[in-house]
Order: sequence, then C-alpha cells, then structure tokens
Amino acid sequence: MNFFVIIISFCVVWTFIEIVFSITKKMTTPNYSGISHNQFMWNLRIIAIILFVGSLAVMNSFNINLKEFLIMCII
Amino acid sequence: MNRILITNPKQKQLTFLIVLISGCALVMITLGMNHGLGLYLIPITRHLTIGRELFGLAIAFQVLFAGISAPIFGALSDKYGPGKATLLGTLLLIISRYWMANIDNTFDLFGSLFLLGFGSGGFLGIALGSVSKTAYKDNRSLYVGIIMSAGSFGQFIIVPIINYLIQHYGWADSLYYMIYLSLSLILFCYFLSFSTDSSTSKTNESEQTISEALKEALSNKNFNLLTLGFFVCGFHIVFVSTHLPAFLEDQLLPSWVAGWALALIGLFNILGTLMYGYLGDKFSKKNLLSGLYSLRAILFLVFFISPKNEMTVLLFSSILGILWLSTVPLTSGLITDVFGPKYTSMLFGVALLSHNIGSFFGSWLGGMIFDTFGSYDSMWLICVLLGFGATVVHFPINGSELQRKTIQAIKVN
Repeated sequence: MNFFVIIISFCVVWTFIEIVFSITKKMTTPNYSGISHNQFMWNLRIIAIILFVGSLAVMNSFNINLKEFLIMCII
Repeated sequence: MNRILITNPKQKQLTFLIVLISGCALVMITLGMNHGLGLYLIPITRHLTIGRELFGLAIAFQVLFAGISAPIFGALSDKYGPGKATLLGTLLLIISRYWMANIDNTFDLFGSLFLLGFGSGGFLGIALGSVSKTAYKDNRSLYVGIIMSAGSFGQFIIVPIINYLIQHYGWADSLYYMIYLSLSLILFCYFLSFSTDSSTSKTNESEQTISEALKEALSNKNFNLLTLGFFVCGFHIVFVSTHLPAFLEDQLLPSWVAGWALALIGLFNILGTLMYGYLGDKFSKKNLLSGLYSLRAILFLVFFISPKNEMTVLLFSSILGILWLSTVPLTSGLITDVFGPKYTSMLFGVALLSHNIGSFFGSWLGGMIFDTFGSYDSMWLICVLLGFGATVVHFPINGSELQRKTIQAIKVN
C-alpha cells in the first residue's frame, strides 16, 4: 500500500474543497440566522481529519479482507 | 395527527434538535443494517443450499420494494404523522428479520426480503421530510445534508458490528441482535413525531389532500425534471459501486487500490453531502445540481481518457465521493421549496423511486454491456452523456414556491 499516493490524493481534493469555499465566501452575504462560513469550515475540517485518520487506522491495522469489504460496501 | 403549537423559541430549538437527532439515528441504523445484508450471502446460501444468483435476485427485489414503498410511507407520514409511519416500518423490519432468522426454503428468503425492503423504504424520506418541516428555511438544506451524512456514517459503524456478530454468534443469532437494535428505533420514532411545521406562510397547501398533492406534483414540469435527474444519480452511483472494483481488476491495478477507492468515496461522500447541504442554503439549488451533474460528466470523461494508475484512480474516487450523494439535500430541498413542507416525505419518495429504478439500470446495464462488448467503455460514455443530460434537465427548473390557485378553483378545473 502506497500511503504517499493516498495522502497526496486526499490533500489535492481537500485543496479543491478549500478553493470552492473561499470563492463561495466572497459570493455570499453574511447570514446571521444561520451557521457562519468560518464556523462551518472549521467543523468540516475537523470531521475530515477524524474520518481520514480513522480510515487510515482501520484499513491499515485491521487488515480488512478486500472481498468482504467490497460485499459490505456494495450490497 | 394532533400537533401541539410551540411558540417559545427555546422550546422550538429543543424540539428541532430532538427531531434532528432522531432522524439521524433512524437513517443511520436502518441504512447501516440494510448495507450489512451482503454479509448474509455466504451463510444463507449454504444453509439453503442455493446459488448466489438467487440471493442476489432476492436482494435486487428488496431494493426495488424499498423504492416502491418510499412514496407509500411518505404519504402515510404526511397523513398520520412521521412517528406512526416509521413505527409501522420498524414493526415490518422486526417481523421480516425474525422471518429471515427462521428461513427454511427460498419462499421464506424472498418473502422475508420483500417485507424487509418494503419496511425499510420509508425511513429516509420520512426523516428528511420531518427535518425539512421543522427546520427554519435558512438552514434546511444543511440539516438534510447532516441526515444523509449520518446515513453514510451508519454504513461504517453498523456493518462491521454485523460482521462481528455473524462470526461470533452465527448468522441466525446475529439477526436476533438486529431485532434488538431495531427495537431501539421505536424510541426515535416517538421523538420524530415531535416534528412540526416551522413555515410561517399559510397557503392553500394546508387544505390540499394527498391525491391532490400527488396529482399537482406529477403534472408539474419542475417535479418531473427533478425526478428525471434523480434517475441519473441512481444510475451513476450503482454502476460505479458495483462495477468499479471489477474494472480496476481488469486494469491490473493492485488490490489495495479498489479498497481505498471505495473508502475515499465513502469518506468524501460524508464531507460532500455536508458541503452541498450548506451551499444549498446560500445558492440556487437547481444551479448547484446542474453544476454537480456536469462535474460528474466531466469527471467520467477525464477518467475514461486518462491512464489508469493509483493516483488517477484515487483522485477520481475522491472527487466522485464529493459528488456521490450530494444530490439528496439539494433535490429534497428543491421539492420542499417548490411544493412546501407538508407533503415533502411523499414527493421525495416518488423521486426516490426514480432513483432506485436508475440504480437497477446502472447495475444491470453495466453487466450486460460488459458481457456483450467485453469492456466498460460504452458504459462510461453513457454515464458522460447522462451526466450532461441531467445538467440540461435541471436548467429550466423553477425553484421558487409554487403559486397555487385556490383549492376551490382547482376542484372546479
């Protein structure tokens, strides 16, 4: 398993998300009745890091059988 | 159903929080349990001494029945309240799992899975509808996104638990544990019944009957286009999730790539659903949907023409993950915006039926094209064309609230 490739692809796509949000931030007016842009982004960053680290730990440590994993995910 | 009018803002917030948590829990548990059905393939086919294709067929019917029951449960929810409708679904889940744990022949297998499909069809639409009704309009799309993320997260949590139970206690006993887990749904069904209509506008919608609402939606251009677009979503998703591992194997890529491709789809799906849910509250939902489908089409095209290596596959999977189920908060939000929150559960159920039919065709056509031509090339191109088609279909949708004639005028016409 090449961790470098996995981390690079995660970072590239996360950069895409950051760019989308920086563009949309300029296009919207502040909405005081809802969650703020920064608040939402920080929550999303925290969730992303937890999910990515969790996925790395699960895929690496528990040595998941691929066929079983595919059956679980697909059906 | 008699509803208590809540006027205190703090009490409203608390009620909304209870409805949101209940919706998340219901969708997380039911979707998680449904995704674990594949783990019963080997033990049940051995127990009944039948082929895998028969089990696969039963699962396909289960998915189809889930689609058929979605608008029916949605209508029940809109008429009798979400608590009662989800309670009925929960009872069907319990009975079907009990039947499944005691199967002796193929009739039992098909019967229990039909019932399971029928019972599990209502939860997603009802939860989305209840949260849409109770949430304030400014954050509606984001909260629907949170519900969908909870559903995706349930897959990660519940499926390994089912796997553990099957390995340690046997497949039949694991189904009894799932019955105990289903019993916990009753509590969330009760809390979901707290959902109230937060909209302040009193329109003729409140006087509308279910059949009038259905007739109105089915004769509405916006709803038909939205439902047609949702068909493409189901087609794309099930084609990729069913055939991507085999496609990657054909490209002679190492086996870990397929596992990580699906893991990254799942991970970015959670983030993408939240992201599009949030953006749906800030921008035009139909424009976001058009952009989303065109991005999918471009992504399929670029992936089709690019060399297949570890990096391109993982980048493709990650970007596709963002676009995976992000259509749900936008589609559900548009339905609520156009037709009002009262019949959202039923109308989203109709759209979900179209999605499931698309899923069926995505899976079946993928296999048929591979068997006929020996490659998935034509299928990738169909995905590109459907993606652009869905983009075009979403442009003419008018996302503003439907201006209704008076009910009397409708009846006269």
